Amino acid sequence: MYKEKTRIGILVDKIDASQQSFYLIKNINKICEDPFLDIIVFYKEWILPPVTPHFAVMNEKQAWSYDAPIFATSLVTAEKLLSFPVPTKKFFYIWDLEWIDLENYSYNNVYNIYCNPGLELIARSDYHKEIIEKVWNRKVHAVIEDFNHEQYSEIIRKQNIKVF
Amino acid sequence: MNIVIPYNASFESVGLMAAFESLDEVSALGWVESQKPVFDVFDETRPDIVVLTRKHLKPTVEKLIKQYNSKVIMIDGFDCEYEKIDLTKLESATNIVQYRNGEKEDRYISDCLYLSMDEWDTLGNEHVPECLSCLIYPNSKLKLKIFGKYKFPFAEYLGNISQKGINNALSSTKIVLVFNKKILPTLAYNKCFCLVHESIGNTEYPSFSKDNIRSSINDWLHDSKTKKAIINTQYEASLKNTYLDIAKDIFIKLGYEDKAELCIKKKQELVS
Repeated sequence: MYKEKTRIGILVDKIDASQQSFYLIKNINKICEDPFLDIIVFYKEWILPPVTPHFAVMNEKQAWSYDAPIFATSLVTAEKLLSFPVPTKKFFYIWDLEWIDLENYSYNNVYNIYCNPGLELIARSDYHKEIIEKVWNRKVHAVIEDFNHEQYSEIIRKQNIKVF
Repeated sequence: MNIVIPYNASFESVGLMAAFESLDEVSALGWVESQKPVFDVFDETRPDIVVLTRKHLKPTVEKLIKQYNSKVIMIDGFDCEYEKIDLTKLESATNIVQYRNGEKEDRYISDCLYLSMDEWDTLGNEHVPECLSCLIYPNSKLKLKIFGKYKFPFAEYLGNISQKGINNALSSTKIVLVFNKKILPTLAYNKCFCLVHESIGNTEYPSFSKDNIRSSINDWLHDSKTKKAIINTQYEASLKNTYLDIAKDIFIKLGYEDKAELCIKKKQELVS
């Protein structure tokens, strides 16, 4: 008898002692207590993490051919994810409202990421969701607060990806 | 024909350059004094016409004008031997060459729009951040969009856009917020409804201040009949003085009747 497992990838710039890495590892560790969820975090830069990850961690190169849904977590990773041919679904978990801090940027470049039909947007809070929808004229798919493991699990399960 | 214009990225220098550039066989060259020595400008372009302001009229420049036999037009009149154009007329002209044919696009749809295009208007005018901050989230639920090269530290600032993007954004908004009188005729030509800051003084458009900006916008968002009447009146007025008309006046003053004719034809072509 085969067991069904849900697979998901998360693409981050780096795993380091930041708030993002802390929440990410802490919550994914909890999600991974469920044996039917298989999560891999793909990183570009590996610096000592604040908490020990209890899940698979791989270099971002591996995400290129990962045949499951992947969540990007920044503008840079979202742009990369859009160019990966294999992931079955692409999400952009908007951790930060990055466009506010960008210097001398072209609207079209940023618009092509936030409003790309190939990416589903997930906001970090209701406050972020309202701002994103207001300024980019695009619906946000869901809200996950600081990688909250319950909200994340719910979205992951909805993907219903089966591996035998 | 080569025309040299001192370029300072202001609305009027961009408008005048665009008007000259739109004509066949006319090449307009923007000169930034701090970036290019005047000798090189004259040597490389051998200008037929030089548009100058008072601060550019130095002995070296006068010598080069004589040497290259260039004709001169001054844009801020003071007693000198050269032909002049009226600065007030220049500052209230309509740019029908660049700002035209905007199309409504979903991505640009907004309740109100601000274009941060003019350096002084954006960086030197304290009313701009003061008023815009009343409209940003969560202070207001209005859909504000800010485009342009001068950055604001608000989520509503969405970077720089192309000229076509500006035109489409103007066609996709309900109200344009204006802090600078110079852009009003051009917005009128694009059939935009403008709300102008009270510091501008009397205009045909309704005004707002920091204290009543939100209520003004809310009132005008729902009064389409009066808005339409203002838009139509202002559109007609905007066609009376365009940068092509100013280019035409310059050509007539300097004795280039054929080029003046080109300006008239170009205006007719663009407006029709």
